[in-house]
Amino acid sequence: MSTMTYRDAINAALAEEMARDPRVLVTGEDVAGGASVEGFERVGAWGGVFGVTHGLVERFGRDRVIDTPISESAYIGCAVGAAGYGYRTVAELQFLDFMGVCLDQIVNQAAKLTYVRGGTGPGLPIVIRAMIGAGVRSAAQQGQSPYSTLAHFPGLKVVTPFTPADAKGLMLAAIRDADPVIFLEHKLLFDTTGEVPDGDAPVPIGRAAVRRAGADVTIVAIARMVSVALDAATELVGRGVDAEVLDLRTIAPLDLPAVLASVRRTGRLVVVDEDTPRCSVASDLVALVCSRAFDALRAAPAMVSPPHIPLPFAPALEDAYLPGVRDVVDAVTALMPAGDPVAGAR
Amino acid sequence: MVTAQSSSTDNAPASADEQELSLGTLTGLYEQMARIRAFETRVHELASGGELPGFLHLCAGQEAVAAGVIAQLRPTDSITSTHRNHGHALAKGVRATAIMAELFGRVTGTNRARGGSMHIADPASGHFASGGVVGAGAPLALGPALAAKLDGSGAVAIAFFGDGGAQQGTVLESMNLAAVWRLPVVFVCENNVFGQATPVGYAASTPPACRAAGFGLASETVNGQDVAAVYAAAGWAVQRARDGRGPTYLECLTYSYYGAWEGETQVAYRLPDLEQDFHRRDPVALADARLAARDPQWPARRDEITARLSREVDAAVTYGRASEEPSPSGLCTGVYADPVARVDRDGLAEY
Repeated sequence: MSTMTYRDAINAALAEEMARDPRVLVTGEDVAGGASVEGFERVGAWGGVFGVTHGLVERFGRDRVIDTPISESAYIGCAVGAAGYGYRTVAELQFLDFMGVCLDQIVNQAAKLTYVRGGTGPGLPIVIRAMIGAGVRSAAQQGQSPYSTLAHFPGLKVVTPFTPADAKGLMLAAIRDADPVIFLEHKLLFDTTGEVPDGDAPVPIGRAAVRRAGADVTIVAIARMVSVALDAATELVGRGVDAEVLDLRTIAPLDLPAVLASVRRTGRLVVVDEDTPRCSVASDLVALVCSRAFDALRAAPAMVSPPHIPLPFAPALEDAYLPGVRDVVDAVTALMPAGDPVAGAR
Repeated sequence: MVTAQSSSTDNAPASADEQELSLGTLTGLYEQMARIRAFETRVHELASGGELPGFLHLCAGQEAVAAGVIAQLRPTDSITSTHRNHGHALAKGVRATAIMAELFGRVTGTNRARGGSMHIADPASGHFASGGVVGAGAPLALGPALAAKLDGSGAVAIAFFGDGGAQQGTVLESMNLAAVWRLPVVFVCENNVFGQATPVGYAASTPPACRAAGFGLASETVNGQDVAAVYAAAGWAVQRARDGRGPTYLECLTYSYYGAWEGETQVAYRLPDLEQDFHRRDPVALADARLAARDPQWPARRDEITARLSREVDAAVTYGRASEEPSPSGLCTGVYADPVARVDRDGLAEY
């Protein structure tokens, strides 16, 4: 085990996989930086706008770590095409908010070409890395978490690692996967640290993880909201509520079996999701649990989401927008019967 | 650094007159065009008779572009195409039986009945993808081109699109990226005058080929009715790509006899004089006349070809009609290729 940051964990996965497989490429805007600038032939100016791809061009060269113009459709489509010709590209979309400019190449081309061409081919392995998450005052078009849009389209896999170990493990799994994987990196998690296994430790796509076992309520959370849920769980102990926190880890395909198993034990569900609420993953989970485990529910499931508004800029406004510990504690408390919550939960 | 690639510093393609094609080559081009013509004509009949489900977009009239460009390709070269792809597929070597079966929606089709006419693809033949989103094939073609460059294989990628698609941002972005990365790709604009019911003169601020220089691509505007001219221009463009000199843009002027889509009835926007002019310069007839002028045996050879192609199309239709329909039990398979993350019909993880 080694302690490392979430950023470095992703970087390590990229480096290890690029060393292991000479056909893995990293492309995107300033994934190295300084392309064509004298003195930067073998050195990157940035290694990614948030430094996630630092050191890669120095190690693997500009034929494998390839800076692109601001042309997402072109270079993501290129990655899809290259996937049919033996190359596994990890293409950076930078901010998931930008997906609008290249959505067709993702949802109609990458996602569908395997099925539409007959469904028996070897797949189109491509990883699209993108940042999600609010909290850094990045405002309306650079702080969203609109993964529900991508989960909506069959043929994609979408992952949202929370821990550094999962960041590394899911990146390994994503690169090795034969299908298009959208790898979502939360901006506020880059500098968080955690224990990461040494050696090859891929994490399976499509599996949630229990971060805190509990008996009274299931809190399913996505990306940085796992941290909010865990903090809420700590506070809830003081109110006599023992919360189970599930880190969803994969948005698509959704690990409903894990959620149902938990809800069947606790009888209560709160989903914490910083994506906007309409047609969100949270709403999908609530609907699925209601329709498939209605009999197990002791209370109506709750969603903890931002309001359905564009992400505002000013710190006071963004802080009011984002789900926080208070919101989760209140949502859980509202599910508990009045009176002694511990007795009521049994 | 980016080097602007001016077509004036490059060897422009020889005109069709200067460069006499061998009889064998011209015959091969004729046969490919006649094959496409026979296929599309039959598809039109079948569609008119209500036998083929879904949307069809025929390329009769445009055969010289498909045949002329693709005759310059090797099996290891790749193409991406549009919704109007039957001619491209046939010229690339995709079997008529498999294409026809796909149009009939049978499991023996190129796409195992999952795609239909607009998505004909056969990766083994180098026909990577086709689709109904205009301009989407251009970015995709950059992929095999990048692979070829990194592999040093000398392979080339062709991106087909129409005069309508020439304005799509994806095409323009791809032109720029291909130039910046000096990719071995040829952008082929099949300008058949109309993008649906809108003339290119309205939709395009400049003739499509004019944009090439703006992005640093070499370019040529080609008489798309003359298969020898298309073949020559394509040969030049393909060789430039193989030689590592980067992307080229070919604008081929041609016409779709069956209009924008099969079943189109409101065709008053298609000006009779324009149509008649293209019919007078029918690509198959032009090649036929050229061959007749050069070869006294040509009429007999042409009749043999015609008969053989007719049998080929008959066989394709028989195959399509006789092939099995897909079973709904297989509906949900093949969304993901990777066996690890399994999903049920609702897209939920299954383990």
